[in-house]
Amino acid sequence: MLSALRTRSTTFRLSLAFVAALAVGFLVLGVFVYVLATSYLYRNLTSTIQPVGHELISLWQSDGLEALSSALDTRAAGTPSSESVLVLVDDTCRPLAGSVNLWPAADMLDPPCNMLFDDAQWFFFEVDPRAQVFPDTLVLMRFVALSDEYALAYGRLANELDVIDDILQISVPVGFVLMLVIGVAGSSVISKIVERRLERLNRTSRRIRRGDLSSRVPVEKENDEFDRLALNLNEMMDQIESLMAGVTNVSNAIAHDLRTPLTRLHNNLEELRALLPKDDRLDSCIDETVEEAGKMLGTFNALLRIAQLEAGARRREFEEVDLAHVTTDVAEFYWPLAVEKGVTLKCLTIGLEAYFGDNDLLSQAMSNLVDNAIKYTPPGGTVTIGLENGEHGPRFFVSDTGPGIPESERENVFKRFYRLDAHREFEGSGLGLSLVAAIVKLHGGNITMQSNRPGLRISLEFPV
Amino acid sequence: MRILLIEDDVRVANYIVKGLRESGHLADHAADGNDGLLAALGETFDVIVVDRMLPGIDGLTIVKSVRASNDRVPILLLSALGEVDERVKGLRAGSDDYLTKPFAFSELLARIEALARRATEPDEKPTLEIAGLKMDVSGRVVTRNGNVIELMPREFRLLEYLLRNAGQVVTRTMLLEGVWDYHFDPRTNVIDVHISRLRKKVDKGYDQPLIHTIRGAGYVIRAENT
Repeated sequence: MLSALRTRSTTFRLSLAFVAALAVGFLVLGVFVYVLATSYLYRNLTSTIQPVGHELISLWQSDGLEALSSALDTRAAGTPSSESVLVLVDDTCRPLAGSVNLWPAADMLDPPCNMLFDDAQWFFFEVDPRAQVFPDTLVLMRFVALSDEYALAYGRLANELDVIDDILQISVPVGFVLMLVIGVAGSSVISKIVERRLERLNRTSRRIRRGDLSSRVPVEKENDEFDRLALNLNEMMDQIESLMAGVTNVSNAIAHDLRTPLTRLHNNLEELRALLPKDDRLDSCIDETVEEAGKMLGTFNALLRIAQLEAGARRREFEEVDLAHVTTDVAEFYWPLAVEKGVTLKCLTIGLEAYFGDNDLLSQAMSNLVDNAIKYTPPGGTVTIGLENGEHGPRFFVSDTGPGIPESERENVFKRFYRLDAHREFEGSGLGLSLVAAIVKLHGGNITMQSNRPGLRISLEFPV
Repeated sequence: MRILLIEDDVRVANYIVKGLRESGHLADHAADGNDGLLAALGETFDVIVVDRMLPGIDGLTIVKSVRASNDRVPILLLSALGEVDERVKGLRAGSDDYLTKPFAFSELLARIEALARRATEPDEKPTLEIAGLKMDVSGRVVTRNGNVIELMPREFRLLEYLLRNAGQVVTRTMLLEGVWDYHFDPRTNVIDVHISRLRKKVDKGYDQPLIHTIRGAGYVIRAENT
């Protein structure tokens, strides 16, 4: 329950608020019922007492005090189980006749005796707990002063009021607590149910984010709000998927349409070589042409690849990748090139948990960076590549002791075909870093460039 | 060798068929998927080369159908779709190799010959030998005329790849894929540098060079310098 609060479950909080509102309503209702029930009973009691009082008063008026007193005694003696309580008292409220055994001591009266004498009024008292009859019972009485010395108190047992009090005093708190317990338990059950259905949506969206575009939210055919949401999301994904398929189809069509003529060009050149007489100058000329065609194709392939990466089409091939392994492989692959150029290549890796990505693309991104680093580092310099723990996940870095990239240019170098003036002397397409950026973006990572004093340090961080 | 080519682009097909015949192979050509599948299922070939996109039945379906009929003939898939997921799809369907257009004919020929060689002679031989150069694959020992040659693990795999295809041209792409499992173009001559280091260890100090460069194609390891 507390964990539900901590995980910030809206459903749970809303249900709790609802339970709280219900509790307030319940309390108000309880008070209302209590007031209504007691006042009804009170009215009922007084109306049954009134006629008895009037009868006795008229007896007193016609026959005098003696007659009243004996009538009271007779009644009290004859009907000990009667609910009527009739007492004649003197000016100190001592009982003289009637149900004297029920009458409380004078100092137990509330309001006090002299106030009762002032006017005819209703009051309650409780029978002494030690009394032989009706102990502890609530009695509702009316006090009527007959003269300065005597007064008649008439009334009846009012244990119904006590019973109602007792019932309400137990049932309201018990009901209240029960309602709270059931309400809170119900809230957490409801929030669990809602959470479970939402979790299906979340699971599907996580799968989609990982590149499984064909993943859909299961629909339960209840046609409730969750099903409608699921249907809407699924339709949205259908559209996105067909759009993405469209992008892939277009680029595939371009690939097919443009690469086939390039194949022919390539083939014709080779055929030309076979047809022409053996001649070194001709051969080297054809070699150069073939190489140029190859470069054209390489640039074109890289562009196409970037476009496909940006469309996210490759995500579906993600699998577990050992980044340390990829890093040492790249280092080992480029090591002879560095040696040949007189550049020291160092590789510092740490063991990391398997990362979810595209092995081939990650290798390509790292290769491009290492290739650049070796290319721009003068002989005698050092290129260091490695893995480290970044803030949000594994971080691959390449640092070199080359000329570096001025801070103002660091954003630009990721643009397609962008080349630094200082780098024009080096061969390159201006697509290498764009490709790296596309690969890193596909993996949800980010690139940072820092000065290596001297040189450049590029880090690729891949949040897990 | 008898090779079936299923390719709808007539000019590319003619060029390949011509090249294969000039290289001494028998080449049959089918211009669409239906004819291609009929030929592939009805006759016996040493290697089948299939284009990925074909009118009628597409290339992947042909590969699957051939595999479904329990035919283990080596199949090479040609495609303009050079992306890795397409390659993986092709390999999953049952093809043995994947080549992206455009390709040099020498690349195609080298791959066809490597495929045919692997079909008759699986990569299981424990020792490889050529003109005094001996490789004990499981023992990881290489000797030439009895002298031990110290190789780094990757150099060992590079030499093993060359030796398994001894006498046949292997291209740079084949080496990238076979030795490093890289399916992208590193755009630098790194492979050449690796080969030249290997060559220094294997050939330096011996009269007869074994590792040869084939212009416009790749490398070959063989005893005779022809």
